[in-house]
Amino acid sequence: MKRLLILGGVAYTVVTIGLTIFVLKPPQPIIEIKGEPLIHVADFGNEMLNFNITNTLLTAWIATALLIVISLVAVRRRKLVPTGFYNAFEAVIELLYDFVTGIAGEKNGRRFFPLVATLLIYIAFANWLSLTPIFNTFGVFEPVHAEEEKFHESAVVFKDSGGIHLINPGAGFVEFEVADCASGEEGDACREHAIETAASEKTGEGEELGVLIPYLRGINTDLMTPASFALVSVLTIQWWGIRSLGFFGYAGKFINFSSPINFFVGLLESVAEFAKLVSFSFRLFGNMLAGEILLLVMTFLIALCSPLLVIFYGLELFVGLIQAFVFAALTLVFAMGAVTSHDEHEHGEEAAHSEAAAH
Amino acid sequence: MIIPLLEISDAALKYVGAAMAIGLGALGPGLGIGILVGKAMEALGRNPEAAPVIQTNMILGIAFAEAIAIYALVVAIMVGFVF
Repeated sequence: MKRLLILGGVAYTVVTIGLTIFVLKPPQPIIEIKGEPLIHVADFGNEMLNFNITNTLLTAWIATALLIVISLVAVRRRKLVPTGFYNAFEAVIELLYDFVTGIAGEKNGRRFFPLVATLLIYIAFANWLSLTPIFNTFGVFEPVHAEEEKFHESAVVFKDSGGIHLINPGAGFVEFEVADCASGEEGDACREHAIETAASEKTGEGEELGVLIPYLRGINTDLMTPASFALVSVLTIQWWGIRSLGFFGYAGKFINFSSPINFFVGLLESVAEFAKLVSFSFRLFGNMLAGEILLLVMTFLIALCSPLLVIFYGLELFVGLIQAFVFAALTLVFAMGAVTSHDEHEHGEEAAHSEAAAH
Repeated sequence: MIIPLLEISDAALKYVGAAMAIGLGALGPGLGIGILVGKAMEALGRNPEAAPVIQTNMILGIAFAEAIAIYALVVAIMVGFVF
């Protein structure tokens, strides 16, 4: 029976891949790394300064709003003996509280808990939200431009009907031949030419070449979101460190003239603070972007529901939670490192050893 | 340098570069995660009561090792899709 099921699954997968490639012929996914602007709010002429509402920002707002609504609904009827949804909500918070106080102790744990729990809940919720099928599917249509900054090397054929657009399974797909185009003005003309030839070959009446900008996109697939989480986390850790050890006590960790070795240790510690920013943001961003690309490529390879897709979907559920946990746990561990001074740290370890021996 | 008989285009080199970035970049973290989990399993076998502590620390360690592979992956994605 089991063998039959596995055989059936394999056969179904092969058939669906064949159907997708030979019958449905979906276009290739067009992968965008930056968040795509939906609404241009303020234009200062400089790409770094322009303020746009990107699809990742919109999704972040929606996730925030949903979380607020869920928490308000959960705590609407508070009881001494919790039941139902409120019970589940309380169990999650209690689990997180036990985790934080288990590592940081009761006094520091109460201080760290709000940030650590918020990071974990928000990142996990946003990651899971981005796995719902409404993400990356519908959005606005943007025609291809020849200007270098916005140029896409491939595009999808859209029916120009206005409103909300979707990529249909049978949509045409074009790759522009621009490999030998120079940069600057000449390159733009060359690209323009490539777009025109492709458009005249592939598009019919009322059709246009362009790319889809989805309304909703996973917030951590845009580097800016994980980078802002990392900034909040690292800056708050500095604040906690200064509050616990005093300004000079905390700065003494980084600038120390007591001996040459301590001086270099201090230098390394300062570099490590900046490395935290990079590793925090790139870890989350890389994982979520890779997951999204994996799912996109798989969906475009096997357009019908298939066991293969379910496996990768499950993997992404797992990765989304684990990355949120890792982000929160690392914040907690770094915060513990920041609030313990150097001498205290050694004493603390001794105390831990004696405590373990007592057990 | 001129390579005889073979004409390699820039686009082909780009994909080779992306593949090498992730392929070599995943080598070290793979070894690291293997060693890490192996040692954690050994520790679990010796002291099963300490499972929660060991598991938490193991996942944290894996995250550190995995971050290196993710850097390589980001570089590979950048080479493949952005440049």
